[in-house]
Amino acid sequence: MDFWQFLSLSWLPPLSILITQLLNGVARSMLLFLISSGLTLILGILGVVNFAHGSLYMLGAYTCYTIMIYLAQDAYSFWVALILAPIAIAIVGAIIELFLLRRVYEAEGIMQLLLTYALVLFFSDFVRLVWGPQYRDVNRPEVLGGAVFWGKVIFPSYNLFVLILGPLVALFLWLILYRTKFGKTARAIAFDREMASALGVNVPFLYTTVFMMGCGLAGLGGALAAPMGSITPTMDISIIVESFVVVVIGGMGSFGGALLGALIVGVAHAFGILILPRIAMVSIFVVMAVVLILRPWGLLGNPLGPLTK
Amino acid sequence: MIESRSNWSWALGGIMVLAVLPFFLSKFYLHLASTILIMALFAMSFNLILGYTGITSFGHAAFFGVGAYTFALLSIKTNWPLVLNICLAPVTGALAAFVVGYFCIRLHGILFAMLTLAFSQIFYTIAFQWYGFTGGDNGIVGLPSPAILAWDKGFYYFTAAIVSAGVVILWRLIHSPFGYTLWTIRENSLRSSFIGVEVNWHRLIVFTITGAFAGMAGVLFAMLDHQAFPNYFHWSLSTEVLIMALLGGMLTFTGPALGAMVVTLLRYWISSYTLYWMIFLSLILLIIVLFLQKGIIGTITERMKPPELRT
Repeated sequence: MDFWQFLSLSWLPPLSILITQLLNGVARSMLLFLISSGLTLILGILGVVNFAHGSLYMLGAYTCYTIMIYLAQDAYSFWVALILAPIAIAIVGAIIELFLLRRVYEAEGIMQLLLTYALVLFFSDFVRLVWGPQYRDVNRPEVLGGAVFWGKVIFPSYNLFVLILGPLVALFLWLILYRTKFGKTARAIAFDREMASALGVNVPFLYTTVFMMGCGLAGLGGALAAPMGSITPTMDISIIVESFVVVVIGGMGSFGGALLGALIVGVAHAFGILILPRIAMVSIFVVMAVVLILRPWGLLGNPLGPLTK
Repeated sequence: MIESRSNWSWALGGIMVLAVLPFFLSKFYLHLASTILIMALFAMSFNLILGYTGITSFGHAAFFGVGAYTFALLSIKTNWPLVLNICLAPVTGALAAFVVGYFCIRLHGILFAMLTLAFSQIFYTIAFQWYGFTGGDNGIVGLPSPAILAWDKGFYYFTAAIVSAGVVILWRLIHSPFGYTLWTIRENSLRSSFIGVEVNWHRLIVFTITGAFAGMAGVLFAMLDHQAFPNYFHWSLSTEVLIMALLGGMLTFTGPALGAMVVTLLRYWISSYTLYWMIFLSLILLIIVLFLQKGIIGTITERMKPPELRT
């Protein structure tokens, strides 16, 4: 191929494929955004970096699988699972917070990290123990089983559903945090925990509730991801690494950053697959390396740290 | 302090035990002892960044694997002398650590840990998938070990000698101005930068040094088992090293060695009953985090102090 052939872009796949891939990438971004926003929520308000977030996502996917199998995968099983799985994971989160996390709030920072890491190890083998090492699959719900056609672009309806649900959840989160009293108190705790407590805010209760919300988001992400691909025991590590790349690119503690980072990572991954499938993952790391060199606190992050304003 | 009599007597006692051990152990347990020695070196060097500099790395197995695979690939694919291949392993380990560290060093805490994990995943994927270069998940088998060590106790003594040398190097490093600077950085990196310490430069250097040690441990392990597999790069090995250092006590010098012994023995024992070793590892980590935050040796040392000196 000579220079002019390269310049004429004739080597690119046709436009319809590019658009399809872009849309798929954005759908995946929405999933990543759900996970990353749960991570950011927990970090921003509790100051805890929840390494186990990926494991909760994985648990959400497996729970969705179990519920759907239990209901014999009939027409409504997915919707039931979509509601029940996040609730179940939120309950698991409550147990983790109440019995484990509480004891290490006052300890050295590394201990919190190690506690959540221990949970990652635990859930990793737990999932293998309960569901076995083989990959699992669930079907998409019938009403979302087809595809949407737009000219030559073919886009699976389920991905469209995820694409729409992502911003809706983001909006819902924003409404809770900025338009309700609960959200206001949560943000007050993020700002100055001692003062909020002195003013009568029930900090432990809020900590547990916010943690539950974050875990619920992870479970929702897992339940949504279940029909999109295979459910595997290695989902936890791959998603947590990607979520942290999202957070590095977007900036820790920032929701806007989580959204931007998720979009960048999802689209970069989608196009990476088009160009060089086996090392698509590396394209994400290249982006992250560039961000790290030019702007280490993330694109929308705070140079002084996540919890300072 | 360094040259005090008690330190010398401990060291001498340790060497005597190591020297005499092969005459009491069968071949299997000698193999286990060699494994423990290698892991002890790995864990103690890992503690250089964990306990002495305050850096948490989740991806150190990458450099272990780099060392092992350097030796393996050079032995299989080239005619270079064995000694050269062995010596090149820590060099490539250090190089890999330098490259990874260069990107990660701007971040602290959890982000740094996550990035090291991410990079080690890349190494793992390369080893696992790139059949043409690394043999993929078949691994590399049939590796040589030094011919003069054909005597079955020979490899144990070889390992013990190298590990002892490594420990001495670590000890000198820690009790040097460089080592004390690391401790300063651990205690308060912001304040150290105010008094003129180049924090990131020190962290990168010590990270590279631990990469070299990890590479050395990797090549020793490859020679012990005469093989190299992609799971030498896997994050589960990084976790085991981390837990070894923590369990023994990350603020002590010999703690990680004890942790290495306990974890390796536990792994062999538990693996004979069940596949799900990770769950036990996680329970150990949970116990450490909740109850034994100073590790075994750390807690014992703490208890031995008079009450007014305890933290």
